Amino acid sequence: MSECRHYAPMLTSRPGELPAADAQAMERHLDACVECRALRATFLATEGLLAEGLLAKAAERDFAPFTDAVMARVTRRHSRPGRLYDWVSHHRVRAAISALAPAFAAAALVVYFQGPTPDNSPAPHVFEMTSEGVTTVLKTDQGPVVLMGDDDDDGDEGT
Amino acid sequence: MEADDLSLVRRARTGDDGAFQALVVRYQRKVYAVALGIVRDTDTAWDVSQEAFVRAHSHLAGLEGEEAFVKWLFRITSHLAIDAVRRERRSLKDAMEDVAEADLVGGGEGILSTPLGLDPSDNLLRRELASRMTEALGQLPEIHREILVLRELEGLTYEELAARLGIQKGTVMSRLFHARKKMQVLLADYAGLRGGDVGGQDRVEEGSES
Repeated sequence: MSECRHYAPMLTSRPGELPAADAQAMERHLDACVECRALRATFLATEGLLAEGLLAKAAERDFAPFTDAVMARVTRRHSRPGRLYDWVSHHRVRAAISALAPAFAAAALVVYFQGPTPDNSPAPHVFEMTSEGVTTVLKTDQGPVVLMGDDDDDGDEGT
Repeated sequence: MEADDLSLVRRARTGDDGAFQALVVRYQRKVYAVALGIVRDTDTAWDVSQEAFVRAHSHLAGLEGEEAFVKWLFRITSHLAIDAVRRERRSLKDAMEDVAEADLVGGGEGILSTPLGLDPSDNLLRRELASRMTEALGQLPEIHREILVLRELEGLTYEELAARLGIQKGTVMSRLFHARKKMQVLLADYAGLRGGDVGGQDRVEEGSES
């Protein structure tokens, strides 16, 4: 009985698969043990049946759609521009953000250097500033701007 | 005259879709049979098989030794099938024994030398038995199903099975014995095969040898 347990795992071996000493010992056991011999014979008789059965199952199916589906997938991969396309198609949001990032950065720089324009009117460009008496005149590209002095106000008040 | 695998692989590598299609047509049923044996579900096996071909196509350039294309294709298939079973198992929270991921290793002849319908010894009983065996496969535990398919369809040796499954050779031998023994029990009703406790071998434990 213990001998059977020892040799049982060897019963599924194929020719040449066991070390020579083990193979010879198993053969000697099989000569003496009719039960193990019967089991070994059964294993050998059914060897390959599983493959046959599974292949028969496969043969029942129509594989034309299978071939078409595989080739469609393979061809689709061919037609793609490459890994960049794969990455973009799998990370569309990230791709969009990445593509727009330089534009956003450029826009931010423009806004930063232009500064705020609260009243939507262009800031007067000062070309020259002169003082004539108590009156200050700013010469801008939009014409002269006269800044009235305090004395004028006083004068107005005096009239 | 049909082109051999080697020339088809070489042409496929250069972008010849017709050559790759010829390989698909040549091996699709065998690839499907391997997948079906492991995952059991026909739709999943169909998807796994398609994915195997697509992955094979995308990695053709990295294939070392074009003559090994079929074995390489079967390895991709069985890995994908085992992954599919694992995903299903995780979703079911089934506490089956984990099967370690293994590197791709070469295989034997296996299913390649099983030309269905060409064996002169084929007869009705044999075909019936093969059909029953396929059905019985679904009743085996996952670890036994996997090792039987890898052994019978891919033709892996003890050493190759050990490397693929990440277990000791002794564990391979005992696991394979139990798998085949359970299969005999399931088939006993159909063909009068012996399925009882012959010589007490049922008490053989996995990993009892190394």
